[in-house]
Amino acid sequence: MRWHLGWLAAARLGVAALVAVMSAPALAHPMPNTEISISLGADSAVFDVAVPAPELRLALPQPWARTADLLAEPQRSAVAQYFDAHFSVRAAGGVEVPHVVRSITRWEAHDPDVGSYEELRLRIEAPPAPGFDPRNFSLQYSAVIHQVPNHFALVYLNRDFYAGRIANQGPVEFGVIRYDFSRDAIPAFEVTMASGSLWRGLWAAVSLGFMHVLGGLDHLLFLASLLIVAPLRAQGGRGWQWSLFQGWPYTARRFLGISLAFTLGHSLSLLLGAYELVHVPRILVEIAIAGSVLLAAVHAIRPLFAGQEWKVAAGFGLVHGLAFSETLTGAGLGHLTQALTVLGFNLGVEGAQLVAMACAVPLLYVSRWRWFHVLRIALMAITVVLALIWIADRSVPAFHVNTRIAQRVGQLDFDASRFAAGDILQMQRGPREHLQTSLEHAPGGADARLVLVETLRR
Amino acid sequence: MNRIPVSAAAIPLLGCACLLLAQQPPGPPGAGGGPPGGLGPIPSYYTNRSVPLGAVDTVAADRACTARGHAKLVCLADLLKKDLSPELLARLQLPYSVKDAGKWSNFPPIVYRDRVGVTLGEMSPAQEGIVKSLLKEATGIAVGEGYDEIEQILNADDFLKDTTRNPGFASGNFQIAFLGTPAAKGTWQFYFGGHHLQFSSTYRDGAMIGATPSFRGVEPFTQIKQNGRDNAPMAQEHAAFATALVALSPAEQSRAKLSQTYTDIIVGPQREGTYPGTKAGVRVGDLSQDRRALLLRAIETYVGDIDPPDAATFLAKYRKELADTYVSFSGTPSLTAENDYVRVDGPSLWIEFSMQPGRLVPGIHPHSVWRDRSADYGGNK
Repeated sequence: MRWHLGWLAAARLGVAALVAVMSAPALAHPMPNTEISISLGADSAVFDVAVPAPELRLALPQPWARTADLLAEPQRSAVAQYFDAHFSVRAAGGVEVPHVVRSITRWEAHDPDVGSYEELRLRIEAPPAPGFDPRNFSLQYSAVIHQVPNHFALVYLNRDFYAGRIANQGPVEFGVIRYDFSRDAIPAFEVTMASGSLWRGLWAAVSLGFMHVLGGLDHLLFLASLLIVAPLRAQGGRGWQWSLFQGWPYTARRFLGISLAFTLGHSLSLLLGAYELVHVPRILVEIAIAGSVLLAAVHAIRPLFAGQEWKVAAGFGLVHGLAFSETLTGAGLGHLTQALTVLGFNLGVEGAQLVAMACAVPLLYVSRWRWFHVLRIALMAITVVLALIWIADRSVPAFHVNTRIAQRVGQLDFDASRFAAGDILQMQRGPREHLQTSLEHAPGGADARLVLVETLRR
Repeated sequence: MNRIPVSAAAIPLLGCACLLLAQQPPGPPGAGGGPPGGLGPIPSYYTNRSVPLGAVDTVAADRACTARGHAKLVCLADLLKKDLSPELLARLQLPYSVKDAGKWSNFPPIVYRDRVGVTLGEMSPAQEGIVKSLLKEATGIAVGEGYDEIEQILNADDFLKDTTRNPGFASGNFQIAFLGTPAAKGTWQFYFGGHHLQFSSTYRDGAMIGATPSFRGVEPFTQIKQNGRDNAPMAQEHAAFATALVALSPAEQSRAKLSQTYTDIIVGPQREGTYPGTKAGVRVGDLSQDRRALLLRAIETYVGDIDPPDAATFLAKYRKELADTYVSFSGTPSLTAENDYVRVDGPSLWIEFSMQPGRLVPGIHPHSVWRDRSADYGGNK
């Protein structure tokens, strides 16, 4: 079962990133070459460019290029201008469409054959523009290559909304941009995608939302713990005990109220999170979710906030929604794509919630039986144990995340055997750490997770 | 009111079953192995064993095959094939194929995994002796060239093995193969290579028809002691080129200087035929006799890596084409700084020498290739 120690967190947090690493293209060459990941939205495209700084420094024309901090001003602006000049997107008719260098960040990359080196990552966006079809354009990219002609850029396809690749499923190899010595020029890279459809993207978002909730036991247990007391009323001295079935009108009112409150809560924060209007560190969200499961389960054993369940559902719904939204951030693919993705994803989440609610219905039926107390307490006791495990499991990396943030980019100094590689990857915030080659060099039968951990610690 | 309508509960229960199924883990990461075409673990035929060629005894092999030249190569090849197990023989003797011939690299087998052939590490001392004798007969005899250069490049990998503690660098991980059957008739290629080394001599009906692509590199570039001797296999190539470039007049140097920067060679492994459309630099025919001679001396350090009679044939061809050959460089003419680069581009001849940053040990290290536009892989496509 997935709720194995560490697996829920690891699976939901990190598997996407891990898979991205595992399936990194065979084309990858252990040289400090450039990598360009292209994401195609409904009406825009995003280019994530990773450039080895030592090679970039050879190509920048400025006298400070070899030694200066490339991210300090005025160098940063000069670097942005340089990429602006060596990057262009042309629509099918040959008309250049606008692009913008959105961000430049610095990373430490590691390669077994090259060692550690400084890497700049740029996000360049081609926003919606008249005549621009993100499924049919040509990319003229010449940064570094124009001056260092043996340098080349591997091109990957990351997301493709119309083909249903909406999340970080791991880049696939797309091609390579190289200097053509016979013509003394750098050929344009043609992007011509088979026709996809808006519905494929939307449906992919629905499936993603649906599976995200159904695959996440913590979300389900939270809702189930609240719904199990829907037919009951707090009673006894100071309301410290749960009654039995209180009739269908009472049950239905509370059942739907709690469900609706949860829906409103997580829909709101999903929206805020997906548009990056709110950002809470993921690890805190995960701990809060585990805490919400604990609270709801304890409440279902002994009433803590009887009659106020809908408020808890709404409040923690906000937290659960933030976790949902993590999957949808960082695409930078423009409003149309993001809106369709969020819409589809939320529909999927609601669908999954309906399934979960349907599962709670048998509990409503049996809630009139005398032994229901035993069943309820047994189920909730298991839930409490699970929630405690999750809290402990998720708190370990949280402690280390703080040290990690303090170091920004650098070595990880934690006891790597304590938690899954997925978590570590998550902390690295980005799958492109040249881990693939390390995995490949590992002795046969080696634990892939430990290899990743070793690589990250090096 | 106390009876449970079973049918009403069935649907939700079915939903719950689906829900439980959805909780199955997606499989542990890595269970699926690497991507198709990925490297995977290093194959067992890379034994990571050191085989210092200098200590290998060739007396028995030389006694068994007393002929010279191609006849000796055929005799030694037959001797080796007779002595190998069927499993090794199947990897040693391959059909002639330009595709397999193209499977070479500057990378060690830790990184590049497509090489064909049997490794030295898999062989008995007698078999190692036959391979050494083959190499000596097929390559040049000058100190620091031909066989001696190869021995030093293998020693350098043992040095890297000791310094980096990465066992994947080892002289025993170099590979030998025969592409096509060595015989008096027919086409075959003597394939020997590994990290920083590719030797590919092609023969047809007993005559050499191609000595290239011929790749050499070494890290570190500085002279090192390893396997009981001093090793600096690329020192002569470097010195010859630096002398030839420094001797150019300032005007010639400025004409020879390339505006672009080269951090590696451009017609490297798996980059067949990617030559520039126009020749850059200074035309050798426009240089003085002395400067032409210095350049020819540099060319000799490459052509001298094959047996003397065949080397003489190739050198005669390149001498004839020398006037229309161009030389160019990037960086400094002394070729001692990172990314210093020199290129010789003739009607047939192509040589690149690239001085790169150290990858495994501090310092610099060269990559270099000798190619022939018409005779690479014996002119076969």
